Amino acid sequence: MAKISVFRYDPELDSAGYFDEFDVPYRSGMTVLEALLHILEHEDGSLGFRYACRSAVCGSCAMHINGRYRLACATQVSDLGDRVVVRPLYHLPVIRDLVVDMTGFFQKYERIRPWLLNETPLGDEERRQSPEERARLDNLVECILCACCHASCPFTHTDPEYLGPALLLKLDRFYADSRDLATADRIAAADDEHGVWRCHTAYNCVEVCPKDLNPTASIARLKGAAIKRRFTGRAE
Amino acid sequence: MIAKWWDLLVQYRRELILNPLPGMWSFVLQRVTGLGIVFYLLMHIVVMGSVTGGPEGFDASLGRVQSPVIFFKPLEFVLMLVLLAHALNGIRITVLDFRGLSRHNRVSVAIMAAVFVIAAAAGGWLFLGHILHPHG
Amino acid sequence: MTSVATTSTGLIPWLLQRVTGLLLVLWVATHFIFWHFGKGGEGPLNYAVVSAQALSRGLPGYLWEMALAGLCLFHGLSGVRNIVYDYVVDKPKVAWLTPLLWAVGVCAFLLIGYHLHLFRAGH
Repeated sequence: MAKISVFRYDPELDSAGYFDEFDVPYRSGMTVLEALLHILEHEDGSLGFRYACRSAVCGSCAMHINGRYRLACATQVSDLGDRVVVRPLYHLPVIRDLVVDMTGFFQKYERIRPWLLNETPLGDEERRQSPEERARLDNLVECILCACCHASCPFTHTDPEYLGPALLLKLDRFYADSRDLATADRIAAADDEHGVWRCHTAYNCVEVCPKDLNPTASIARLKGAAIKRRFTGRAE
Repeated sequence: MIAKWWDLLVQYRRELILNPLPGMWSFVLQRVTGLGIVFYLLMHIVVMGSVTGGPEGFDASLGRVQSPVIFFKPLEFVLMLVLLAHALNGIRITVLDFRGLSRHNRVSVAIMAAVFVIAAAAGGWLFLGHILHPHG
Repeated sequence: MTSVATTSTGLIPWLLQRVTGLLLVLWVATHFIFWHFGKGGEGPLNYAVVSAQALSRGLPGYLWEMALAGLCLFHGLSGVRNIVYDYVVDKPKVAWLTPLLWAVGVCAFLLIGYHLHLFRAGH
């Protein structure tokens, strides 16, 4: 049996959150998501949580499990010890139980214009990129916007306007893309008190990223680009 | 206003519990040691400022903060630890940022902790000498 | 949207914290080692000891100590401002903070200059 302790909160019924304990029959290879699905199907049909792909590519099941933010579908119950404690992502409003309101997060995402900015006419060919140029996008394009890093960053809580590690990494993804021509705009978006300068290098984001990405490195790169632009006027 | 700052302390505690990671701890340490040093700096200015009362005023003031040796020398040692922690952490953060080594946070914390222990031990040994032999 | 960055983005304070911080590591280390393990370890500190040092080092020593004071005050007070800005995100609400910290820093700097002068000048 696996002991699962789950955060519960229904704004229509509860004044504050509390924890419900469940005993889930353990099966070898069981993930936390499977445990939650068992609870949903056999113990308490009112449990609310998000999931979709079950294979760590959609980012829907991000939650706080035993001391760190992780994807429930990619976390083995056997790796977690005697008791599993599941909480929703922090720094985002809780809608119910383990479901958080991602609206603010995605509104900020749209503000950074997460698409290729290139006004040059597209001919008969695709926009070309050398292998070296493509390699610069490694560890940047894999972000699944699960918001684990956003939840673990202490500064997304105290500054609601802060873009946060995920969105700054996305900004770096386009800054580093040779096909994107709005380099100066990307740097300007980062060079802001609610951009890179709110990062105080707590490094939680690097530790918790389920995709092993490095938001702090992206932020450091953008800081360097901002400084270079400030003192040399060159945006590159 | 005070309630808001109390909320912040509660907030810090929550963040530490949810993220018991070396980077989180060293960030809190940097802030706490930084504020401690600023406070010490202001006290230092006040104590040194007693020189406006002439040599007698200064000696009286310094006599007050330097004795009993058994109490104040350990406090000086604590000051040294606080300065060391803040300085080493600051160097670590700056090096990681400017050399693009963010991937190696845990290793850098371990190295910093080792350097801290060695420097603290060396300083502690010297301070112990002062406590045991107050006049050199 | 290509506007030139202004200091209100946080770039200059960030950079200056790193620069002053690195300088302070050396400056504070020598100051601490000298006064706590060097001269400070030879017996209790008093006016005679401090004054003798101040006089023997002359003007370069005075400027050295003032530079240390300036770096410390800048780094420390800028750090305090940084912490406040993290938590009071609406900057106009604390528009008085920067002038206040500058006033505290400048007053402290001038006071230190005066006190150090007293050690050199004698009474």
